[in-house]
Amino acid sequence: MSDDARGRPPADPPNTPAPPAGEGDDAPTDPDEAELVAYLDGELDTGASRRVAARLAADPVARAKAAALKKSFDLLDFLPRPDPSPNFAHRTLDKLPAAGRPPSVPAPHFQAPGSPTPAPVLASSAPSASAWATAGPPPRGRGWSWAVGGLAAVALAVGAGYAGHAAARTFFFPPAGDANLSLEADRRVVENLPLYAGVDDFNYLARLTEGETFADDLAPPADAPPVPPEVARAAGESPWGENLEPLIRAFKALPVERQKQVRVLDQRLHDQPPADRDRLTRVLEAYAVWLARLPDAERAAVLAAATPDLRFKVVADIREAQWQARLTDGQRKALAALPPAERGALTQQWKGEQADRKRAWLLRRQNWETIRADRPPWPFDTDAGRKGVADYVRTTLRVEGTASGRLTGGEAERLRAAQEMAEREGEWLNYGAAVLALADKYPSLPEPVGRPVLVVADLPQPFRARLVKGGGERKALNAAAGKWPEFALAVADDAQKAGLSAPIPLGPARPADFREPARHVVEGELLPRLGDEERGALVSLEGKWPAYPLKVMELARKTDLPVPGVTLPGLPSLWEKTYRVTRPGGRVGPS
Amino acid sequence: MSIGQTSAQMALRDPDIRLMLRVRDDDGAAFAELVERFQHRLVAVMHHLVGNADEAEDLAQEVFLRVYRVRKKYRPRAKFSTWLFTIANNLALNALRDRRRRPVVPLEVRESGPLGGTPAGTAGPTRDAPPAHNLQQEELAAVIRTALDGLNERQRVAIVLNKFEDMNYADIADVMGLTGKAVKSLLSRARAKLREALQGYIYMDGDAPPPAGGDSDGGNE
Repeated sequence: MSDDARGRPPADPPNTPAPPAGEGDDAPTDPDEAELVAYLDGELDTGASRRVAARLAADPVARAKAAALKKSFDLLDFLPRPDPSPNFAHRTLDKLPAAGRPPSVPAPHFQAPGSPTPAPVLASSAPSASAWATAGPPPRGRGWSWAVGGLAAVALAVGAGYAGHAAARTFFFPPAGDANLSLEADRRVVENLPLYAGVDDFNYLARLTEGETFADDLAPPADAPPVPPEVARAAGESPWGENLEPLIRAFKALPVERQKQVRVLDQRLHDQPPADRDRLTRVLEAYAVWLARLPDAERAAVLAAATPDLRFKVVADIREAQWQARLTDGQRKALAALPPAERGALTQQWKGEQADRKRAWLLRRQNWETIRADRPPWPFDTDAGRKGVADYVRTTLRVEGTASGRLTGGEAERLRAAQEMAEREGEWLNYGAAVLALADKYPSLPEPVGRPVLVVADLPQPFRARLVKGGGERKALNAAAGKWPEFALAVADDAQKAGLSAPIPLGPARPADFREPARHVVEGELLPRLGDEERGALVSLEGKWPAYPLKVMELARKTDLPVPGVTLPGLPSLWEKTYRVTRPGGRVGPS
Repeated sequence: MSIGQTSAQMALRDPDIRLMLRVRDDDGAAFAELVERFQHRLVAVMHHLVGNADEAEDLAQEVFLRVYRVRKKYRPRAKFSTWLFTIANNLALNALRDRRRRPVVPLEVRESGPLGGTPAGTAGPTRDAPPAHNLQQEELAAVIRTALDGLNERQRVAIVLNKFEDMNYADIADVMGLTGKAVKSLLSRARAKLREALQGYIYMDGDAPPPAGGDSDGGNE
């Protein structure tokens, strides 16, 4: 078949060899595996697809292979998605023979509403771009300038290029201008301008840290804070070198109101505690990089939105569309095969799986040094540590079946599987994170010396009858039966709703009533650590359950004190550091 | 049915074909629009294929220039993107083979560590590689990059088109000048290789690994 007949272009230049169209330069294929891959890709017809599905249902080895094939393919999603450099289109069009060059502005452009001429979006065709071109891009690999490859372009576009865009002008550039600024006072603002360009104010920035927005775009290690420009400058390396000029001009071109708004944003950012400021700066970087890489029309839509709410909506819509665009053919087919009402659940499931993979990776990265050293993470690096966790799981979470087990069947099963993987394959990080997640979900309280209140029969009459008759929460009581402290908490809750007062203590509300070794730790370690005010607050709650033990646990957390039999063994701060995944947007919980 | 009618019908369905027909008719603005519309996809695919940003841009640029040079011969017989990526495939394969014939310093090759790779930040922050740049997540990307580089050229093209362009087997066959069956074999071997190269990285989320003996592999080349 000739190139032309296939609709393909003839080879040009002529010395370019066509790729061999033969099929024989690869070794023979395992037909079963080829069917499996085609099945995963949604490429089989109905009959073949059924056959593979039946084989998978019957054969665990094939299932495992299919899972491995899918997961290794999914890993490709971790590759960075490179974009062309901002002037790529321009450079390409410049290479055309002069006769064929487009007569209009050669760079990509965005037609401003109501404007007879196209308003350039990219800095390359904005007036200040010549200065930018002269200055060159910020030096990569210095300070935080890794993030700003296209940021200056955004800042400059906002500063100048968008002047032709009515909506953007209304928002970013009310019709006054003020060039009277003190560069010294505003130097930090100017240097950070590329990060602030698409951000209204601090509230808008806070929204960017939520949920699926930018909090997890770039997730550098927690111990690698960004290097703000002023720090880089102090170290003798301005991220912009001597090329601040375009940014200064862009800032000067802003109207007074917007200058003020940017200054306030900058000030509020720098008023944050260092850790918060670092993570917010990361979110700003992620947002600015994302913005810079958007196609022009979409970036224009973000920047031109009339209000912060609308801007956020546009951002969310584009993010969703980008996520959809990354679906594979197979996923698209799976979605299309579902009734529209059920598609949301499947996409949520995929997003959940994606988030799980990301969390697993973040957790590994967070503990990279331990992994490199090829030793189990704390506390599983010692026999005592392993035993402590095993005891906690057995006696506090009570994972073993029976009525007193606090976990659901699925949770218990998953935890057991994680434990087996840890013991067999050394996957202690996953196990630790799973235990921490369950400790979060099932917090406990110190137990009484004697038998705790666990079932309705433990309650005296006539309180029991009144509670059961009057309370509408019998389901909750039944669900909590046999479990400490869930049952006692449910009784306390129901009694309060029914206006009843429990005639017996539902739980210990003084240190002396706590079962050992919690009593010893509270009396001997927690109380001496408290200041007068905290101690007074605690004493005032004595005799009140659950208020007293809840306060005890709050103070124990605050003073980083483990309470044996109640909290995870070992310092709470170490659990946080090791198993709580951190992202630029803040803590996101155990993996 | 005349070619003109076919063109009209296809152009109705595919706006990119309409655009290319304008390019064929020497509409310079249409070509600018075409570059704008496809630059991201093309540069991304080239980058995934050759692993180098500058080379990827050079190749993508060459694809566009070639489209321009052969515009007069354009006949809309497939999706426009298939035609475009056919040109891209030819150029990328030539570049990769040329590179193989004239070996250069390997790109971003990293040694293997306990997890199959050494983290980028092992040496600690330096002035040339400051903390913010020292993302250990780059290490995973580097491992995946190495796995991708471990495929032969045609496997890599097929995988990249399948993964990043969401192309089905028929379109990949069209782009690469192969039969659907050959694409199926090609992708199967490529996926087996990826599975092998990345197996240390795929059980991070607590799933059980394949049972012993489940890894018999006919996919090696």
